[in-house]
Amino acid sequence: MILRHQRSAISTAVGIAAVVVAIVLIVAAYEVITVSSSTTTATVFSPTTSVSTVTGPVTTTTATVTGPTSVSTSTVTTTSTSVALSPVLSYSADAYATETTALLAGFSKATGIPVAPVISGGSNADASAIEAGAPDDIFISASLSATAPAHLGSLSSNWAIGFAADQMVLAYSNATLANSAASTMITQAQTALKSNATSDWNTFFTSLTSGSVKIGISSPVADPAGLRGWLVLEAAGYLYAGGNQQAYASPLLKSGGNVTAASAAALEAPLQSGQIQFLFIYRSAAIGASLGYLTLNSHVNLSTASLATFYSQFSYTDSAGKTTGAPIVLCITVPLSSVNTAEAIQFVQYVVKNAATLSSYGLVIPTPLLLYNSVATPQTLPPAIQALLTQGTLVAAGPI
Amino acid sequence: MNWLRAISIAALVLLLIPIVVLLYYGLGPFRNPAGYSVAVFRSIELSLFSSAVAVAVDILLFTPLAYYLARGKDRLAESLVDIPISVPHPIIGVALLILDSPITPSGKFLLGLHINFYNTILGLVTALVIMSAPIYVKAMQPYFESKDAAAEDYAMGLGAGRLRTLYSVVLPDSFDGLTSASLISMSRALSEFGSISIIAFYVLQYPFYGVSSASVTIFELYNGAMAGGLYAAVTASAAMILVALPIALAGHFVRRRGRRT
Amino acid sequence: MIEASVKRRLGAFNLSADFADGGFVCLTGKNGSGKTCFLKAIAGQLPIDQGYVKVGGRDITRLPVEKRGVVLVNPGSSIPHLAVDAHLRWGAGLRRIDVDERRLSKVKDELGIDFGGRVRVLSLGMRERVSLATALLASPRAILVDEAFSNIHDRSIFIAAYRRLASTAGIDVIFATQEETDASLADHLYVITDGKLERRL
Repeated sequence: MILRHQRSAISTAVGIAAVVVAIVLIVAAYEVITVSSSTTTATVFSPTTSVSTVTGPVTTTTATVTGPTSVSTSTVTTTSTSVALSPVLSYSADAYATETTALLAGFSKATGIPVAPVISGGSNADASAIEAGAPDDIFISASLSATAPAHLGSLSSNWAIGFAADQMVLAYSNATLANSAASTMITQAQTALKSNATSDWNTFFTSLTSGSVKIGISSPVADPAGLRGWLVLEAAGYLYAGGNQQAYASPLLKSGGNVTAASAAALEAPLQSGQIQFLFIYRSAAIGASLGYLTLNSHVNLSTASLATFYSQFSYTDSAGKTTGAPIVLCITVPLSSVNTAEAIQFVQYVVKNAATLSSYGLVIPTPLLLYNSVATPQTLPPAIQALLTQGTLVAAGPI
Repeated sequence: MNWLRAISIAALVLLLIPIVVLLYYGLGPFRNPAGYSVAVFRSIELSLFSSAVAVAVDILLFTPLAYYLARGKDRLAESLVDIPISVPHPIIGVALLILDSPITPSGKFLLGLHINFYNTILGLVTALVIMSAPIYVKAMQPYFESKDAAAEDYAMGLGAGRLRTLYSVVLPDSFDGLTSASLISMSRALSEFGSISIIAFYVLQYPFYGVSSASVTIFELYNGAMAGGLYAAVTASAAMILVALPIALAGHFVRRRGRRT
Repeated sequence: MIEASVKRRLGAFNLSADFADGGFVCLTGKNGSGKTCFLKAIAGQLPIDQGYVKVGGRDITRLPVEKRGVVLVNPGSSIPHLAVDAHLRWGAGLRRIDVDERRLSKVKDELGIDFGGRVRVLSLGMRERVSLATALLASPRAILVDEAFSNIHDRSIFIAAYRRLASTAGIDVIFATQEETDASLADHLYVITDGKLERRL
């Protein structure tokens, strides 16, 4: 039995439904208008069936479906000021998403060019997605190799600018301090840092990898941070366990003390809630997440450019190939599949100019910045980048 | 001792413990401003808006199906309706991606019509419709079945076809059923994650430029892709629960009122 | 002019009849004798395993309910949310028949419909009057009434008026009833006994 007041409720409901339908139509109409002025963002992405390159949760990179690229040659976005610009799309190493977002925001504010939110994930996973055809203009990677053909394939533009240096640390949280085994290890590490004695470091690393605590090391295939975690252990084994690179890595694997995820950033939450006690991650990320961290010796923490040769004697081999140790340098590049290329180069120039501001995140900024360059004819280095090199703002730092 | 009641209440409490824990920590010890930042509220807005639109579409497109299943005996159709919600949700996201991809014939056709699902509100709503329509049908079908068919038989005898009967005779009398089913499917749409994290990770349309749905945002806060960390994720989760609760409870009140009359 | 032969396996149901003369027909029988089943089968609401239904010579056995031109009215029949006048016009509206004011008032007068409001708030008897009147105004070929006179006050007056109106409009009416006395209000009487339908009078 519907009473009188419910009758008016029905008309209200009908009215609301009508309004909602109207909103849907307006949104669809707006959609048509915006899409027709930026058809390119739709046409570049082209999925097929091989899905396996991304490990872990879906959202660390948007493109879990991979496939061949059909690079769009649509000319819509060539600098016509009267047409609404399509936003600049960016992929970033997840540990540096905050920094990338800040840089993009500053750039957008300064130039008025719209930027899309950053898509973040392990750098190698990002590269896989871009190579598979995900639309992208800017790629900020935690490792140089992710910007090279080794990971970006034919979409690598063969140049990248290294604009910040970082180091591996072992992060820990308040929950870690409540764990007695872990807090003992923290004391051991602090002792070793002061004395820098081989025996002290050995004590620390031996107990760390004994299996009595859980250590987060992200997937090496998807995330360079995870790969670097293993390299740190190899370097430590070489230095403190009489030349045995596997001295600490093996026991850790055997005892099952390592916990993995698709990206180091994804392990920050379990660290904070106490499911893991330590996490191999970049120092800047630990600072950004307000985590405590253990500093390691520079021979081990991949921080120093002059130790590049030393680092290169350690390597990690997996399905993606063999990766050798190298100093950690945050790199930026513009993939060949970029659509808003002019705007992307403008952003690169912005980053170069404002790199110094990143030291507030705990990063070390090299001066001049480093240009890794393997561009071979008929390709050329973008003129703006060439100009920076000539001016001395960038210095040639070898091949990509 | 009413054992049935005791066991039932215990089961209910078990079900609600995670929610209560989250509310306690999110509003209390773990409260973190990043969890109720503008970004989080925009996400909640987007979730509410897109879910409401999805439910409106559900009502318009799927009410006839629910009626058809109620009055017809099409067992096959009944089982088919359940398929989208029986598969892992990311599959639906992938399906929409392929459907609208420039390398498939369907995609070429759709893109030619400027119908783009990827990171658009259209794609978001489409995924939500696919994931909430089966729930809507599952709620409306028993409601229609429970209605006395006398009025419908009479109307058809007078010459009204089934569809006409649905619109002129059944629906004007189905306010509480419609409301209840809408609220349930809206709750379903609000909680969706897997499919929309693929097809519409964020949307780039005014007024939701660069905004992700609430479920995606909370996941991003958790996995560190968005600054905030664990505590922000917990706080945002608590905020989302506070938003979802009234909708779930409204459904309860409508059902109660329906039963009383 | 309704002719029907209905066989259903369920309940070993087997009835045939030829209401060749049409008019206002009374159908009676004991409880469970099959009056309702028979009427429903003619109306198309009950599937039949063997047999046929013809109205005005036209075979309607395979037709869906809405295309048969036969309206079945039982005590529950009504469209609750409509107001009385809208309800009365509704059936006619489906067939694009325009019911002018005069005809509407005439039918309302004759059938004792002097009230308004939503049909769902009316009493059972008032509802039945409205449903039957609606069926009449819709001008079908035939109206089947399954005990839908049961709640009407002064039913003999009502039935007589209904018979008049139906006859003028050329609509055949078959009404099933428990009341033996209703037979006197009809043109013809048919009785179902022991699974067989016979005409008496």
